[in-house]
Amino acid sequence: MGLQTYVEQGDTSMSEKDLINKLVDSIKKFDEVAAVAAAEEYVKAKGDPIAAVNAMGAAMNELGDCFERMEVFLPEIVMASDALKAAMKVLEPEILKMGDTGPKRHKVVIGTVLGDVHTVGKDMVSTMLMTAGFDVTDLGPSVAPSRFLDTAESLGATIIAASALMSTTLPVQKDLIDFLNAKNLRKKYKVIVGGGVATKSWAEKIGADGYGQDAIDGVRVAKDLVK
Amino acid sequence: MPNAGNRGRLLEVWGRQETGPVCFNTEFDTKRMWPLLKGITAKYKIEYDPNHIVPTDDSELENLWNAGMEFFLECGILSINTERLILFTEQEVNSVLNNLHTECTLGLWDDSITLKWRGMEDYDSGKNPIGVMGRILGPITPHLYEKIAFSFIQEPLMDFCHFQGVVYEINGTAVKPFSPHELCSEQKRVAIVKDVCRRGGRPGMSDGASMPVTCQAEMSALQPWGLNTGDVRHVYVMPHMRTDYDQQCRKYMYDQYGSKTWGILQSFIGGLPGGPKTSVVNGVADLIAYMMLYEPSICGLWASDALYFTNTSRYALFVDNFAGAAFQRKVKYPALLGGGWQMTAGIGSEEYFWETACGAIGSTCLGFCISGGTGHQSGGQDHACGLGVRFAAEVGKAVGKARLTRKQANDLMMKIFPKYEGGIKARDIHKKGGDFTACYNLETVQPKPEYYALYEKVKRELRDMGLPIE
Repeated sequence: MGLQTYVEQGDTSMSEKDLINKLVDSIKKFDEVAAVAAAEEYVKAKGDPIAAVNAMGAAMNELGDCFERMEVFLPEIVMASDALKAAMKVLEPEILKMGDTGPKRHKVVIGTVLGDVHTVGKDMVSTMLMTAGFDVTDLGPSVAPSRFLDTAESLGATIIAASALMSTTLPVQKDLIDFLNAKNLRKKYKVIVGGGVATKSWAEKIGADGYGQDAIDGVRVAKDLVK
Repeated sequence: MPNAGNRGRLLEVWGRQETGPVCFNTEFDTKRMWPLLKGITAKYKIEYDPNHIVPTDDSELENLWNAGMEFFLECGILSINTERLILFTEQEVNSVLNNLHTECTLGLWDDSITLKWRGMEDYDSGKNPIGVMGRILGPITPHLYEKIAFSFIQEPLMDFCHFQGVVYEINGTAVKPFSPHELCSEQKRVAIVKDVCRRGGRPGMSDGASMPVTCQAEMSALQPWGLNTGDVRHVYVMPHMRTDYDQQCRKYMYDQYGSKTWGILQSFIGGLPGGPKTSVVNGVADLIAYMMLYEPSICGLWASDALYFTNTSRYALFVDNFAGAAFQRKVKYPALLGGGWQMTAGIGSEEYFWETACGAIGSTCLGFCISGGTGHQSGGQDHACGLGVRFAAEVGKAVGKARLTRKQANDLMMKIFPKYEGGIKARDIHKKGGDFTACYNLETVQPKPEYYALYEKVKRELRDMGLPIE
């Protein structure tokens, strides 16, 4: 395997590097169909699936930087992520055959707290976490503390991220911490809070592990917490 | 005789969400809305120029209008509850837009104001600016609420006010949506507001707040002592191009009660509608969507940056000014409520006043109403004061006095942006400036001398820039 492997593709001979580039290109073009086709071609050529996963992760990181500079936008990141997930479904069986689980991606469960229907800020955080290499499950708006908890448990998450935009929904972030304590699960998860009215002092007051003032800050905090 | 509008058709419109084409919530953004928005923006060659925040070319506005209309017609509006699309024909859209109410009266008695349609650079059809909206937003410490509200009601240049500001605790219990405390919180807020308006000598002042999360809490103040027919409550086209039963219920309720409704263009630039050029097309479509779905009494412009929340970045004011002008140029409807609804910087900062000025200059020149009062991204505790809305009104008056052309307004905004946008880029401007207790004397409810000096300093600098502000 490696760079010496060639695949006959009609009239085109492609190295593993070329095939990885094709896969990366499909991610950068937000093309789910092309990503699946490229992943299948790669698997058929017996390319190293870990190398492919790492390359796709690097591509998402790059897209995250472009997103921060507003060269690429939220829907495109979502489409790129869909393309990556579709390609992963093709690559994962190969990774398992190797007896490997692939590169570790910390799992994040994110949502806007119960009663709050605002999602824009949370969507930005979710997207940036994804491009930074986290495996994100977005529960959407108005999420009860128990649902955060149950989902984190079932997925084996590392981080629970709770957003609240309004003063009247802010207390639910404290409820989340109280629920984790009540279940003796507080130490199992890192809790990050954020949203329009959340502050660093509020996060400290309720015993959260981190506070993100915006999406960029949220990613930095998440990375620091999993070091 | 002004048009009566077309609100009698709304139940039929809302009925379409029960039978329209299926479109899953999870697919609407990436498979329908974004591809259409991106394609149509490219088709019409819509561009963003950071040095061109006030539109000066009417052919550009015509082009933008056509792009927004095409996007609206092709995309439709998604009902979140039924996951079906509400679609319209171009013919019915034009029919509705041609028959909208052209004026709207907010408030009661001597405190009422009638907002009419106004054209761009028109300084002769009534006072300038055409309307001045105060805004109290964000969490307010319970014992300060009455004082902050009073700081607004005592401002004679303010025409109507969103007395928002959240009463977040009742008897020490945190207020949460759907709880009985939320009903109590809204009733308390409305009672304070009505009392403040009476004691401020303006009993009929329109209250446009939408504080509670839930419809039931808002309804709890539909009482003889509470909400009256001069007040206004929100109905939203949810970001982006969405509606739901809750918003429709609000509209239905306020229409049958006889009070007013307001909506806002919501383009979160950097988020789902993309960058500024796609967001401005979305903005035009958003305004059309409001008219087709709700026909609110008045409508505002509330574009925001998604990554670091601000209403006054170049992106946000570009979307507000261009989308608003493209709409108001084609549609005879009460003057839109112009951009810069809340400032990014804290109220006790110089930057707060500069942001206010930037929003007010473009809005007044384009024939929109203006707004002011709240700072700290509307998220900081006790960051609202009446001096902000006074300042906004004075800037608007000066624009009218100077009879600024759109080019002159744009040039002036270009001089003002450097006064605050560095803090937006650094994402720390919200930390600047103290809160209401730092800026106002709590006994007299007047600006402290040092705060007043800050306000005067910015006014001096504006005069030096050529704006004849008193």
